Amino acid sequence: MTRAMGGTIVVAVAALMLAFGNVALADHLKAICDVRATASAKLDQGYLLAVRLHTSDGKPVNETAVRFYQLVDFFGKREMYLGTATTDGQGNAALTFLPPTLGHVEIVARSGARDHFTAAEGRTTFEAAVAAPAYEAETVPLSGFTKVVTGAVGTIVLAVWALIAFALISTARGVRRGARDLAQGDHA
Amino acid sequence: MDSLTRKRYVERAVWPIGRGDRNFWISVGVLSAMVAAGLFAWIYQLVNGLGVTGLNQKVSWGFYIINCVFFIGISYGGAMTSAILRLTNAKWRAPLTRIAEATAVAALVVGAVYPIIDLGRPDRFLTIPLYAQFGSPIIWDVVAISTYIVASFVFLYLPLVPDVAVASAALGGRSRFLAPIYRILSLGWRGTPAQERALKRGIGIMAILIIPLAVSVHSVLALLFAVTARGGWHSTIFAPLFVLAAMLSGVAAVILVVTALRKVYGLQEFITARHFRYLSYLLVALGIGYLYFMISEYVTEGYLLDASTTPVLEAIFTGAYAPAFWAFSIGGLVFPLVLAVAPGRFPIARAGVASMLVVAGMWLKRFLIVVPGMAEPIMPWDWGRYSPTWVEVTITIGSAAAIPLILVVFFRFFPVMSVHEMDEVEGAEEQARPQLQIAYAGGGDD
Repeated sequence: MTRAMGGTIVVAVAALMLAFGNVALADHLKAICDVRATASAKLDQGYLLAVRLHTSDGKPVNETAVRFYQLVDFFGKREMYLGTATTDGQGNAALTFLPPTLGHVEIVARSGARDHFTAAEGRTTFEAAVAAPAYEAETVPLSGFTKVVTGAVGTIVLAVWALIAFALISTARGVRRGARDLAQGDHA
Repeated sequence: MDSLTRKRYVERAVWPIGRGDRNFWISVGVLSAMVAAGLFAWIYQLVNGLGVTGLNQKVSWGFYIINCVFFIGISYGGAMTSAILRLTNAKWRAPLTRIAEATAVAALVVGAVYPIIDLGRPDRFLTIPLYAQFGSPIIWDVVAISTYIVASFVFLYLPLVPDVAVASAALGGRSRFLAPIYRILSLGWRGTPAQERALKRGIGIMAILIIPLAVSVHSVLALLFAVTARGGWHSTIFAPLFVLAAMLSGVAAVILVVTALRKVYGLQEFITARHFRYLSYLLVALGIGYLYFMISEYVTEGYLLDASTTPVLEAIFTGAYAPAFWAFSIGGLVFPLVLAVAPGRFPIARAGVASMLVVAGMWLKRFLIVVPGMAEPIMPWDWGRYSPTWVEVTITIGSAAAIPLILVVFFRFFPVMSVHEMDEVEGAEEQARPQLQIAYAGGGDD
């Protein structure tokens, strides 16, 4: 009895493995990543970077992490990570993004390979009409006084250079004038 | 000074000019070889990067910064010695000022190269002026050192103007190449009262200016350390301590150079035991001042025992750096000061030995400031280690040899003692003598 049950379980497990094996061995389905950027309803919130992840036959790819990057020029072209959003049941994911500067922005969205879906990448560009406010450093204590001191020290340095130049030039002129006067006296 | 003595003085002052005897060429050859070895080591470092030095992530300042502070300090002492003697109108200064000023310029040129060597890539030096941060002591360091270099050259050149004519006469018709250069440098000096007045004013301005300039250079150098949050560095006394250290090592270096040149150029008649005695007094006064400042610093820090300072103090007094510290304190400071002023025989030899010990001791002191402060971890790491490689040692020896080489070459073209200044001092004495006699005559006691 026990032996018969054991045999049944082995057969069932083998059948299941075969079934799932077929799935695993099947070709990966190509995922497609469509990206678009739209201005938020409130201007100061920047832009909505929306992604739709789907297969080539239009079926949504859900529960997949999509990473967003901005292409920047920082000691050469490189990608600046913006954030990650996960696709919903319709294959949609979105990220709010406030560009650091105005002008041309290039966005890359990328999802990794998962289960039987391939990795996907999409790009979009737009002209940013709104940007994050420029970073303003906290005022350092005594910063106003420091500026005055720096200016004063700079002035002293310039005065010292002027004094050195005066010592050299006035001596040279004085000595030359003395030589000239003596020569004129000799002639006379 | 009678005319015969003056004649001998002028003869000795111009004796090295144009004199290329065997000893001269041997000394120039040996010193040049040492400088060439230093240059080779630097080129090797430029090609292979700073990895060939003992500098590392934890101890990123080593021999180069120590040498920068040390050599600029020596130059400071030379300039100060000359400026103080001029401003106080010390009558005995005439044979010494030229040597002190030339030593100042030679040491300064050598010391100013070290920050560039330490950079690893000299082209990055441009970053400092191009992206200047005026809140950082680095930019002010560059400003102060460059100003001081220009001022030191002017301070050397102005008193040289009348002596260039003497040098030209000494060389005679032996060099057609040098004659026009001497003519340009002498500015047509004929010694007229108007020329004397112009020269005196120029030298006076520079003698006054060079003192605060030199103080500023070493103060800013000290600030590089003092504004850094490292144990043993962030001390309020660092700037005056650095200034005094520079004066001490500089005066010691001047005594050393004077001792050597006196022997080499046969100046014994004019640079006598009296000069060494006065310079030794100056050395001892500065040494006592330095000792006081140093004790004051260590007592304050040692009493407070701040968390970042305590490990450095332990390392210096009783730890890995204790041999260097006690060697400096006793062998490089207390003993030489006693040796220099103790009554007895051989005052010149004693002054020379004392100065040598002070110079070596002050180099060790700079090592004790730079390396333990760097090696102490400010994060929970192990202590850093620093062992200089052959590259750093060779560059150091080469740069040290560059100073006597510059001096030997310089004094081959210009008088080793100031002839004009001697005439000036003697002239002033001659004028003052009758008045003094009258004053004494009416004094009654004598």
